[in-house]
Amino acid sequence: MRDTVTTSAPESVLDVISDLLVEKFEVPSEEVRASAPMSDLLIDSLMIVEMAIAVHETLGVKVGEDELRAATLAQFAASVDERLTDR
Amino acid sequence: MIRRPEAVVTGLGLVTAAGCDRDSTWSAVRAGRSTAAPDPLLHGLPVTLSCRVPEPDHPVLRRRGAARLDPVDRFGLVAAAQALEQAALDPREWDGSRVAVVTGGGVGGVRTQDEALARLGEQGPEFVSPYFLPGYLINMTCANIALRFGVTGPALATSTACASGTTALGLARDLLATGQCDIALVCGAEAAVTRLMVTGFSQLGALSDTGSRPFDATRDGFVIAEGAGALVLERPGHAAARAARPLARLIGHAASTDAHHLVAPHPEGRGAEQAVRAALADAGVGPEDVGHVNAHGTSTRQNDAIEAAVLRRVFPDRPPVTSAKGALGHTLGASGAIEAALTVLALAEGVVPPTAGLAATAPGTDIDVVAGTAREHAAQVAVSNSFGFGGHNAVAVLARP
Repeated sequence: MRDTVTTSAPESVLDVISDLLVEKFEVPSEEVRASAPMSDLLIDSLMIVEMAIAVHETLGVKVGEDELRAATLAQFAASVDERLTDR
Repeated sequence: MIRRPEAVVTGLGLVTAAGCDRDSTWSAVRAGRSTAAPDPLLHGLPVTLSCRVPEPDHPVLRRRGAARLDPVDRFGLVAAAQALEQAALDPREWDGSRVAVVTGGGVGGVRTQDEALARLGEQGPEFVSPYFLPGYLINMTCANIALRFGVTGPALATSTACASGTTALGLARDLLATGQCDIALVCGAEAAVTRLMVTGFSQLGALSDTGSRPFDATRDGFVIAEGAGALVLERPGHAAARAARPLARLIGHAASTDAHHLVAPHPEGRGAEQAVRAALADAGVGPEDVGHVNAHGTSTRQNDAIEAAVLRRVFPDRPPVTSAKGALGHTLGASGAIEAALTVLALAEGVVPPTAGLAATAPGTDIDVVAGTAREHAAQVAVSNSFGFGGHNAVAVLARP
């Protein structure tokens, strides 16, 4: 499995996910705020699944769709970051 | 003869390798300029020539979600938006339940399929995008157009291989004629220039790696192309009531099937001739009334010889014939809609465009194929032919307004 970004990478997990939201999911950058619920940023179930794949692919961390739906951007990034750091 | 109610054409949209708008496409076709170019993505294959569409930039694509659409859907949306703009139809104002959309395409979103298949093989099923099927299914150009423009009447995706665009035109005409809608948006779209598709056509011996030369003595296959064409059709009364200016009338259509071979045309053009004659009868015109034939003219040895023989038999008065595939390549399921739109432009301007690539007509062709430069010719009625793998034949008859 790919492990392209490690904890020593200069870009934070929040930055990586924010970039994905803007570039891959075409969310207007002004809407990408840490407090925004992920379910507001990803507006249908296809986007949720696609984001789970993108995080898995980009950061090597498997995330659940329910977890994505329940979290804010900041909470989701922190949760992914924690699993990256634990390894 | 009982005449079917005709339809008027009030808007056109074109997306081709010549450019993502009507004017750049028409100027390339009118000038007989080939758009074929060596394609780096086909490197190492037996055939590396294609006519690729430059990335379209149109307001219809400047909204969230457009970037992940398959190219076939982006091309279709841009062509449809152009046609609606020209028709001065605002989807925010129409009754969407009285609008139909009929698309034609040969294969659907095969670029999306390629990407999904590569991910499945290299990374595993959990990395296949949920957007694979919405991008791949052949009805999704139709669904995207309906969704984007609020079309809630019938939405149908036709697939008769390289006849699809003309099949869509005929079905849309019939939806209007049977009162199922007041406006029918027709769109042929294809984005099938992939390594696998090119290999498939190459294995059938259908492709040229030297260029598209319809009806030429040295022709050796078609050049695969991408593109989309869209036409807004309306009941004449509907167009008149909103003071829309018709660009042309769609006065006839017919379809037939060879039932001879899955990919080889009938050697005497039985089904093709049947379709041309039936389309003229449907239009209530005789062969002598036809002043312009937009041939299927793929540049394959077989098609052009058989089609020329059909045209010789049906049209003893030798109306001028042209093939847009010399300039634009073969856009497969999109070609019928693109060429119907080009035929409308040709009728309006009173010209027959030249057949790009044609230097010397093959001996025995004995039809009047326009070559070199556009010919001034004020035709009232034109015929547009489309013949597809599967033995599908579809013919449209268009007339000046």
